[in-house]
Amino acid sequence: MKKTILLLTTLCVFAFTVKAQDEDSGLKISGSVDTYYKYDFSGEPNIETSFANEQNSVSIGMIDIALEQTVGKASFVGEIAFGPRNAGSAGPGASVMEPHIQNLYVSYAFSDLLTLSAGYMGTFVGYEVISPTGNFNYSTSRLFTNGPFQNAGIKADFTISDRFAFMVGLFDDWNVYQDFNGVSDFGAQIYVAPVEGWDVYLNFITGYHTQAFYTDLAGSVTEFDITTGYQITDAFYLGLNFATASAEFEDDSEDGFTGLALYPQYAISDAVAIGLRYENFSWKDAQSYNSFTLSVPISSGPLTFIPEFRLDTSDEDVFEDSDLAATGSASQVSLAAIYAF
Amino acid sequence: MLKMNVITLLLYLFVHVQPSFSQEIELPVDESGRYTYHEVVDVKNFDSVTLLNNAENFLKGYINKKQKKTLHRDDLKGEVTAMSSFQVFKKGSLGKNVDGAIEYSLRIEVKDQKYRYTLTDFYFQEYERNRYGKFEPINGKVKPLETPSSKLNDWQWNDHKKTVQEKMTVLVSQMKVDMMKIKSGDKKKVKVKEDW
Repeated sequence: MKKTILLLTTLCVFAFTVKAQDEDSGLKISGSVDTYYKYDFSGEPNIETSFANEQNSVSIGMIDIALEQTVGKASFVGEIAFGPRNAGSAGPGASVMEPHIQNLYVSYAFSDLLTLSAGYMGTFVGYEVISPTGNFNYSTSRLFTNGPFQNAGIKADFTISDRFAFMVGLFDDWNVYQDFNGVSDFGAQIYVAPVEGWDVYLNFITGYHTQAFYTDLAGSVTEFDITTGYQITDAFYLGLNFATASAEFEDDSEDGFTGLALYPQYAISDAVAIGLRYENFSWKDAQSYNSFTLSVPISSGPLTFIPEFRLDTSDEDVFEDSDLAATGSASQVSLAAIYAF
Repeated sequence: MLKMNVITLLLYLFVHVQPSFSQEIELPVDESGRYTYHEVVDVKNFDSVTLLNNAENFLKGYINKKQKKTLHRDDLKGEVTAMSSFQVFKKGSLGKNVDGAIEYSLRIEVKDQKYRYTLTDFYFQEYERNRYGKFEPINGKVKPLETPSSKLNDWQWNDHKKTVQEKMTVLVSQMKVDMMKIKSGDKKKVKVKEDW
């Protein structure tokens, strides 16, 4: 009897001994679902970005489910999604009903300084992301649409301090599970935090692709990207994304783009914010765009509504008006509902 | 026009029709309006040096490895200070998904026969899920726990305050035990084996 009491007491003391930080090594399940309504004032789905292009329809985005676990120095992430937004991230021809991997990788932290990761990972390039919970605006920028979405490969992250880190890695072609021409991309990232609240990422990726720049042509592709965001005051945040990319195809043709996007955002309260995205985007020797997107996310815990107005203009008549005549501008409103779990 | 009206109506309902989920949590407040846990504890037969050693040992055992560099012992002032933190989670999430971390300061001051503790400067460091599917702190998104929450997010903020209340209650109980762990005059006992 005494032994039982002693054992129970020992267990209780062990169980209730408090530590400052509860490092939870359990399996984490997170993700989101999103749905939206969009209306283009021309009556046509004019502004084609990666997702949310369906006109005058209550449409769905995707269901995204991520599993994550860290035990000691080892960790994994497995993230899978279904739906049109997911299909949009899988590239041309992807079925809406087919699942697509968003993240699938394992990591090992050899020390506080070095972490090695291998698998299929969300790209390190660019400001915006596929998951609607990671973006302020619901519609996406052209810089996002034309950059990589994911990079499979192996990378080494070196964390020198809270203010400085860098990454080098070898990657497959953009957005593919398997690289048929071998691991041919080199990527690097430098992270600097000049002051508290300011993040600066310098990103670089280059390599030879069998389907370069979302075409059927093979060629070499290089992209340089700056992604930065500064929480200037408690309420005011300013983000910036600059990228330039070029492709040299096997048939000696070339293509490329350059773009700049600004993201001023103001938090009216912890539930309501207002933000503008301005983007200037130019194709090499082709049309350029100016895009203004005004979004007002309203959040209550896991649920966020994003009413949004977007106006795009181009130096060429690449849009259609309500009479189906070519025109240089287009505008739309949308309302998205996103639930994060 | 009808479409715009439907959108406006939906937004109005979302903002204005919000159920109240939880009871408001009241944390103790000091004269400057900051949430503070503070108490003078009398302990007979404990001198200040013993209490300072116990305080240091308690904090060394309580804070984690990364927080060790914040631990400071000042023999002249008779105090030990440290910074600490713990994670708080999204209410209603499937797994224990991190919403943020509560950071705070701990101070234990000692005199002969008594000590006092001060747990204050509670800040909320916001987290988000990054592009690689992991939850991480957002640089610059830190606010005092006293910051009022909007009606729409009151239930989540209140849940974090409830967690603080529970964590501090346990912390204080543990501290009171550990502050009396080694008594004044206790000597380290050495067991002498006969068959050496």
